[in-house]
Amino acid sequence: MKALIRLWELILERFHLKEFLEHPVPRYSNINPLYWLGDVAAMSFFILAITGFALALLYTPGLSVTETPPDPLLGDAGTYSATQSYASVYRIAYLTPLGFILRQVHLWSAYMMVFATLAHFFAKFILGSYKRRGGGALWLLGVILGFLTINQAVLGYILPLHLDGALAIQIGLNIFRYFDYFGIPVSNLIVAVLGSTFVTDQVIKTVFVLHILIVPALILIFLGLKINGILYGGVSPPPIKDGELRSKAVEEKEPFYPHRFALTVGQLLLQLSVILLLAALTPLPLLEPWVPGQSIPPGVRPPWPVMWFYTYVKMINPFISVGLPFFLVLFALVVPLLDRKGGVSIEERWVWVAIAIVYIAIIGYGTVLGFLVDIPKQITPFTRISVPPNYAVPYVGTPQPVGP
Amino acid sequence: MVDENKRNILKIFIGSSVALSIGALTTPLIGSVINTRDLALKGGYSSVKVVLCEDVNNCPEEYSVPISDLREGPKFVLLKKGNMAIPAVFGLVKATDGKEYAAAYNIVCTHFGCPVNPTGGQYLSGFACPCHGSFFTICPNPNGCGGAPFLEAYVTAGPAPRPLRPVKVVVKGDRVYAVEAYI
Repeated sequence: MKALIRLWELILERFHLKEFLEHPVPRYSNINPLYWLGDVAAMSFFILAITGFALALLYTPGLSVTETPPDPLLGDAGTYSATQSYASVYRIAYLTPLGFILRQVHLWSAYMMVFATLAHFFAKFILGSYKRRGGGALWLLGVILGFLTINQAVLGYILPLHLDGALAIQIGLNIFRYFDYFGIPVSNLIVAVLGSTFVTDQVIKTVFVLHILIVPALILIFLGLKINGILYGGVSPPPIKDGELRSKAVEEKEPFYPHRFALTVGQLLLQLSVILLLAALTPLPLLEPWVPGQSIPPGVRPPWPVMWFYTYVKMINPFISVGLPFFLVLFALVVPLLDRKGGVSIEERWVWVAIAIVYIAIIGYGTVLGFLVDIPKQITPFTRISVPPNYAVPYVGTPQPVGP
Repeated sequence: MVDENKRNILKIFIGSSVALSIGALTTPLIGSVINTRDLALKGGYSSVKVVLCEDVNNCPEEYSVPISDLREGPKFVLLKKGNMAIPAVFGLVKATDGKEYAAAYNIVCTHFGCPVNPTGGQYLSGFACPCHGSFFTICPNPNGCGGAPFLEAYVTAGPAPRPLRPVKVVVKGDRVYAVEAYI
């Protein structure tokens, strides 16, 4: 036992972890929930990484279609014809010991990461944390990380190649072809790199590598930069108007270990239990399989993070509503340059807090409305994009009658 | 102290991304309002042409479907050449002159790329997109339908901007061969 303690102390000393554990942290951010959302997102990322390691070992990407013989327990209901990707996810979810819980934890922490990222964004917007020295750079890193998080979510959604995932990759492969209209040869690039604008083995392999290797590596780099910036630059100052009180709160510090450390561990355990509860109470089923060439039932079911966007696209003229997320992201990028005067308290920044609330209301209203009502698609004069005639391929074949 | 130089670099970076995005968003809007035909780039069509076989006589069987199969209904074939793949649906079209014609189309919707569903039961009469409701009708009239030539899968409903990409087919013996396709 003594040797172990000695080893632990040696590790702490040799890797300079003692400095990390003893770095001063302010007390005001201990209890305020606005300061913990970024932590939730980061912890979700590490939970996703650990469950992802196991899932990556069990999952096989591929499009070769297999017919599963009827299950002795389920009878004909157990028969399904699906791609290799789907069959391997099916095997993980329903036929592997602990596979169900593994997949549920991965899914729910992914949803939690997306939600926490959004909530963290609004929390820091309300606190005006880009106003402190170095805050602008951290804000920019945060926007990049948010973009990468959404990318990861979409790529992970595609991998099982269920019906919705297959439609998602189809749309992802073809939507950027509209750049051809501006003279940017996107479709040539896609065909040169992936060989097809239809999901093939090559495409699903690329998605797999992006999901498990490239995007997580980028997230890790940017997250490391951001954590380093916060470690040495401190968290955002408290939203107090009185300068004296504020500097007093900033200066009142304690070492990270043991109090904040215990809070962080508690937060991780709380988060894990929330994820396990969600997995137990509302397990997310694997959607129906898809095989290439199969007829697809009409109607798109967007996942909840993009439901608000889908609602507005159907409600408002597409040329306005399609630009909505671009506008919101641009606004997020520009806001540190616009909001520069005055302090960080709510009284001084009430306009920006109001904007944040409107922003949250737009997303929340769209999400709720999308789940409550099925809005018919609107047809406007702009719905159909006018295309120059030389962009369309005329029918190429020589019509040949068949039979008598 | 705020480093003015850093601020300026940030301003240039963010300003240019704002300008780019606004440009990207407004170009199709302006394009739909004014006539951009003369402004459009003359450089080729954005689809990539794939020649599956030069000559139908030595075309491999994997690019073909027996006509007897097509009589039961449209058939899906993933046409593979090298690392390229074209999802094609083969079918027989009942023309207004009473004859049956073999035809095939790339089923990637020209709107956002969802795979379209063939309609018409035993014969191929058109395609419906499950995602955003585009409908493509195959012109059954040998003299053409309005602007669309015979057998073109032209848009009759929904947001798709142009007809489905065709696959050139040749009938040889009792099989229909795909010889040329567009991605």
